[in-house]
Amino acid sequence: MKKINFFRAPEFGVSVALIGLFILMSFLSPLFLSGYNLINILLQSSTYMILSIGMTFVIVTGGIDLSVGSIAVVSGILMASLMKNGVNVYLAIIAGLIISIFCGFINGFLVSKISLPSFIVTLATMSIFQGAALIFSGGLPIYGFPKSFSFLGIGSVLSVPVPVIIALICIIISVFVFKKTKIGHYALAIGDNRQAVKMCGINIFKYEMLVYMINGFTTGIAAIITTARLNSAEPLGSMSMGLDAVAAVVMSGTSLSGGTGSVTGAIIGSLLMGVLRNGMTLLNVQSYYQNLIIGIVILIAVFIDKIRNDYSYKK
Amino acid sequence: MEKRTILSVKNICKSFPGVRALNNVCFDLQEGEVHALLGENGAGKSTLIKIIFGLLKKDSGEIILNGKELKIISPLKSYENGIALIPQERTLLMHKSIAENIFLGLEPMKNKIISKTAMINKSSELMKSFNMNIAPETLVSELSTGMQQTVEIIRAINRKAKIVIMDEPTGGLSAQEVKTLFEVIKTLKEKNISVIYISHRMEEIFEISERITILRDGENSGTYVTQSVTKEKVIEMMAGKKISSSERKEIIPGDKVLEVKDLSTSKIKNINFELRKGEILGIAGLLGSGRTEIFECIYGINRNYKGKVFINSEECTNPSVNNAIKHGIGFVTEDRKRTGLSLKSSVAKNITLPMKNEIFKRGIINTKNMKKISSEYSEKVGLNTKDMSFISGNLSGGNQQKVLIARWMAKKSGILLLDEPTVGVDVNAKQEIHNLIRNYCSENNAAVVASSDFPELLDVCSRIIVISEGKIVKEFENKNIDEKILLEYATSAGGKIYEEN
Repeated sequence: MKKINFFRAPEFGVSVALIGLFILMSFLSPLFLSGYNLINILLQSSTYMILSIGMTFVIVTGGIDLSVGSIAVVSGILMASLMKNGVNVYLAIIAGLIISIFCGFINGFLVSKISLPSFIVTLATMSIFQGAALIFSGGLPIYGFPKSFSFLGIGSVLSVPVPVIIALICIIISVFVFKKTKIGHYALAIGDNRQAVKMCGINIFKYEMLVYMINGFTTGIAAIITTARLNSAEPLGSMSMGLDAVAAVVMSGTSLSGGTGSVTGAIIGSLLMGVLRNGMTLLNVQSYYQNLIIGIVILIAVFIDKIRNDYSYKK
Repeated sequence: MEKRTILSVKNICKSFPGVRALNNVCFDLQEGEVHALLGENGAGKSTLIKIIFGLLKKDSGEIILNGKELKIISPLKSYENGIALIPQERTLLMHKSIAENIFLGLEPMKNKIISKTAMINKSSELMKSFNMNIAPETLVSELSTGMQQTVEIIRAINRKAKIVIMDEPTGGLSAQEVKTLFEVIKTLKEKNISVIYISHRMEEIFEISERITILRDGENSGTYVTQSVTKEKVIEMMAGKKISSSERKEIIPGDKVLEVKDLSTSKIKNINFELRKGEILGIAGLLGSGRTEIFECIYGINRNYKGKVFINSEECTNPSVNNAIKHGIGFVTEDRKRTGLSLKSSVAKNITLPMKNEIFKRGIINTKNMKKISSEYSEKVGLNTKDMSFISGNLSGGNQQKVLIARWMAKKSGILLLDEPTVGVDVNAKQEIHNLIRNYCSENNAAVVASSDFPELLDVCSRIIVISEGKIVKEFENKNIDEKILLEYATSAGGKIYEEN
């Protein structure tokens, strides 16, 4: 039997935080443990879970993608305007996914082929993509979509909301891709030691590109859900989406310098954020305070992870 | 005349969870003395100096400086007490000048403004006393590794250090720089400053130190006046047993597997050699002589070379790392941490990293195969862990090197290129690695070993070529030659000395 040492698992810190918060909330609010609320938490976390998947792939290579929010805006605006112009819903969705993968491709190309730092590249493309969306849309939101599209945001199957189902499918596929395929295997290795990977004859360019394109793809899926749920595509959409995804990933013990981390950890991180937001809303915490508390929780989770790291190195 | 004891360490004990790192270790240092601290990896050298310097806390025992017991020890206190540590990695600000580095934290002030003139004048004075004749305004990043080290030592002296601890100071230095370092150490002695010198290189220790203290498994194994012992004795004290070097077998070279014809780049000129099955070819050269450059051409990292490389009598027309690996070349690089291992990854992943179809089936990992292959080869190289998920960064230097060798053995590379295969590896592991290379090559494989550790080449190779300033200056069969001859040719400035005569 293989022994699993939970304390030394990278997901330890964030799991403890999640369980602790869960218990605390169930005492503080009688509504918290209701089936309706639990589904609601999953629904609210679904986009973050999906975003954090792609972000994990990027971060384990030692990179970062700040442009996620802008990619979602570009993709949302494109889908919305195509549908408004009478294009078939499925074609519009495919176009939206292609454009977000293309945005990821641009990031990946600049980072891998031109060797620019990912922080700066994606800081620039964050502005470029949003600028493009503003120019294209004239700065106005586009709203009102066919029912078959809105279903992806607000519909449900057997009382499970569609976004939750989509998120689950994404999680299952991505855990497999991360653990079992060349992409995940080499992404971690690249973040761990780029030179060593190069010396083993592995095509770094290919895998780094793939990683940013995967991030583009998951962002595209998240964009579909948010656009469908809000029934509107906003050219000034949330820029902080990217940073929230980064926070969810980093909380789970994934090092920003690359080489360690897992999709599972990122999912737990996103759930933690979801539970926290939901709990604070149930307890009528003012939204200003919510931001403050979320920041503190991120620090606590990272701190627990640091203690765990120090401990396992001393051994 | 009996010298005064400046520092004495008595009965130090230190335990880490599960390991007794130091057990009643004693050590004393006299004024103006170079005292070498020796031991294998894990013998407790680093732990001891970390305790003396205050980076770790001792469990029991006492440290007495100038007759007074030190109660509180921290790096800051150590500086005040005149103890300085020169670590293996440089701790200088690369984008600042020499003077600014020397005075970091002690900037001379004039009317609450840092006085650059005072800083530069004092620095230049100090630098002159160490024979360093460059402008104190020079940026540290423009200096060679050796000079950076001297700056670090000068900084310690400027802080009124009376004891300088040097941890493996000659790692990464060229022969010339080592000479300069020894000059610096002699200057320190003249200033009556004591040095604790930690190194693996036996030759250096016998050249520079006055006394040797040997640690083994966290315990004192003996302290000797250097002149009164032999290298063999010291090695025996370190290892606790005699290390047997397996006899070099007579080999009958087989088919030609690698041939290099007129290989030239900006750093090497007209390199010609061939390698046959079963052979171990040595390339003797000092740091910067072009030995790594030759490997980089063969391995396809450097594609802009003139001349031809033949692998198994086939010319490499499209050099790339991928093609080199396909043709059965494995490269163990000089710097295992930077270009060799994925330090955060498991042993299994590191061994199987260059593998494609062996562990992937339609792009999906076969974890079982990965484990099987890595277990098989880590056993073959004698790795000290059986846990294939062990994180490679936590292995000792020798075992990390074994993982890298296992990688290419597992890949069934018929030609191994090994660049400084035992740098920073303890004596025992060194011998094991040598045996490993020999055994592997006797199984119808071949290897090229480049090294500046000439006794190593004499130990493993069947044939040795000496390069200097990018040119082959001499080729030897490994018979009746010694280190001195190799060194003489290696320092011959591209053979110029011989041409003149």
